[in-house]
Amino acid sequence: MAGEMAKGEKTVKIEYLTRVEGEGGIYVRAEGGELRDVKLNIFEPPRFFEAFLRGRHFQEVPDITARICGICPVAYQMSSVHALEAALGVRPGPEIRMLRRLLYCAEWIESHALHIYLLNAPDFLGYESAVAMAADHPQEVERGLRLKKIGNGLLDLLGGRATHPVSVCVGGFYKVPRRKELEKLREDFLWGLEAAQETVTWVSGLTFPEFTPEYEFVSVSHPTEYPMNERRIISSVGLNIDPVEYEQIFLEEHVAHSTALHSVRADRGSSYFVGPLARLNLNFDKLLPRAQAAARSCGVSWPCHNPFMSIVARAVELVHAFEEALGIIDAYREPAASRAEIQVHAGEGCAATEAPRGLLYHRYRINDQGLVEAAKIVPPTSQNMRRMEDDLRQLLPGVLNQPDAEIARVSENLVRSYDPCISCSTHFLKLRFDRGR
Amino acid sequence: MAGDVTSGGRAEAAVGRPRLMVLGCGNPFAGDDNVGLELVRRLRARGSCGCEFRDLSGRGARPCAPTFPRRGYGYEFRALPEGGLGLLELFDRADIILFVDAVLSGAPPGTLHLVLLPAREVVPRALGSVSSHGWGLDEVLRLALALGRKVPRLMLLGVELESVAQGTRRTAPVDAALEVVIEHFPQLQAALQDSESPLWSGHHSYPPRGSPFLEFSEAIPVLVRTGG
Repeated sequence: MAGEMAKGEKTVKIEYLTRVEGEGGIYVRAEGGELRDVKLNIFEPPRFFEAFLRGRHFQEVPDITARICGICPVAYQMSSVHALEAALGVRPGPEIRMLRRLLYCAEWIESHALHIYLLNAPDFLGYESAVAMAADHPQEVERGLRLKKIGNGLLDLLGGRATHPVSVCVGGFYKVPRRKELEKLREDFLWGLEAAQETVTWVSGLTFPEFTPEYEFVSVSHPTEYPMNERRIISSVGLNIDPVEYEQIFLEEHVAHSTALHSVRADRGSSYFVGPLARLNLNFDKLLPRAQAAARSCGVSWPCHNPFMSIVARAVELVHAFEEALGIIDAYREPAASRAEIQVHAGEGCAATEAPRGLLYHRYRINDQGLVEAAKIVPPTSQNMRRMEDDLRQLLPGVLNQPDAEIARVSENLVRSYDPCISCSTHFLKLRFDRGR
Repeated sequence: MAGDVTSGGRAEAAVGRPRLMVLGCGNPFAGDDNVGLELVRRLRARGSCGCEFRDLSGRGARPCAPTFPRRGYGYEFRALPEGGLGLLELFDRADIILFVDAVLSGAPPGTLHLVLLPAREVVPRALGSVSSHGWGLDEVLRLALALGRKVPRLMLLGVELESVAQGTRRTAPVDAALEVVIEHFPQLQAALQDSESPLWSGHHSYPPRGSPFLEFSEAIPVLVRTGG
């Protein structure tokens, strides 16, 4: 971070907001001690996935969309296969459905463990990085690394490899695991369930800033399950829609300072909040018993409106993911067929699933050859972009009298609490702060 | 993160010999960039020599980029998503890790480079220290040391590239260099597994001290090779 004083204005620049995924910057301008402007500048080049999916065979889509992100490829695969199955009228059997949830559990585990232990926890403990934190908290960092490794191991088994899995296809899987293979993971998952509960205790003991804006939380909702793969989309202000209505309710907007689109409510242009905190607030009763007990006993009052406490929601979801994974592993029966048969025809379909960092919407239109004619992908970080700016507008006036370094630290901490994946939404953040003096 | 790599035979616990892991890096579809992957494939196919062969084929972990400026001009060494933390999991599995990758220094194509890692001259990209997508080797080493984990000896065998154009075959000079390495791999292996070898002189400190660049003529004369 560098500060400059020129003609009564002070500019503060942080070259890189660390521990986020992607490249971008924050611009803050204050005059006379009042906040005038906040922009989350995303300068990572646009990636054009929606354009180059056009003309590709539908069965190539999950492999291509998986490349959008190295941390949450499963989410892109899940939203794409569900949307394409809606277009093609395919309904995979219950075994496939559970294997998909198991695959999602693996991704939540590796992504959440990474974010909690290596990206976000240093913020609350006063370290510049996980490496610095590791020297004083080796036990916790080792726990995080092992949790992440367990998630990656399950991804490797189910997906063929831990990063950018290759086993997922429209209709099911190219290859499904043997029961014996899954059983071998059970001991690790029993350890992981305990370690995840220790994680909840650890993170809920951190000190969080007092900051509780009014939010519209949005997530996928299922009548009986904690949301992952399906089904409706709900919000904290009464929204309850089928994913086919998504584009009437939510609008993507271009903004001049960002290569990532900003999503807002179409009717009133307001921001909304997706991610673990939204999921947990809206679906608390769907948490499995151990996860729910951990959430109840951690000292946090749910629903929680403090975005900094997303780390606690993420930890509770870590418990849920291990608990659910163990249940699926124990009940697993190898399916007779790894994938449903598909009769190719023209069609259009959409789906919303829950990536580790929030709701992920996909829509595809295919022709009678099964080639993609149109694709739309709305990543969770695009949906949170406007919300992060709104939070900064509310948060920063309270700290404008603080030293520049403190303003930068608070801003970075807030943005990191959302676990943004900027490279998904279009990489680092630069913070530029103009302070009128 | 063992899941990001394709395992060959596990290193045999040869009595008194340190475990050697050979990690081939690169993009299988980008001309000379796949030389590390091809080396691992062929050495693995030759049967057990007591080494573990793995490849990091663009599945995320990929320690070396085909950008390796001329010696003395600020070398570059980068990791792509997930590579770094993946490496941490491999540290327990070997006493020595030899990375093999295509490099670009301005030397004639096919020239072989042997570099001790970590090295100040082989600078991790900034990505490695600031993005969860890019844990670099440097940061992984610092994390391993902070955690008190064992860190193996690390070395890079670089093959000077000619072209990394997408969809092309390896070029003749790089293929010729590949043959030399395969033919003389037993000598390289013996030198790597000999802790008294001149290869390891000056090693193993972190942060690194002295020049990481090795004199082949002292350690493995048969691998002295300048392409072209």
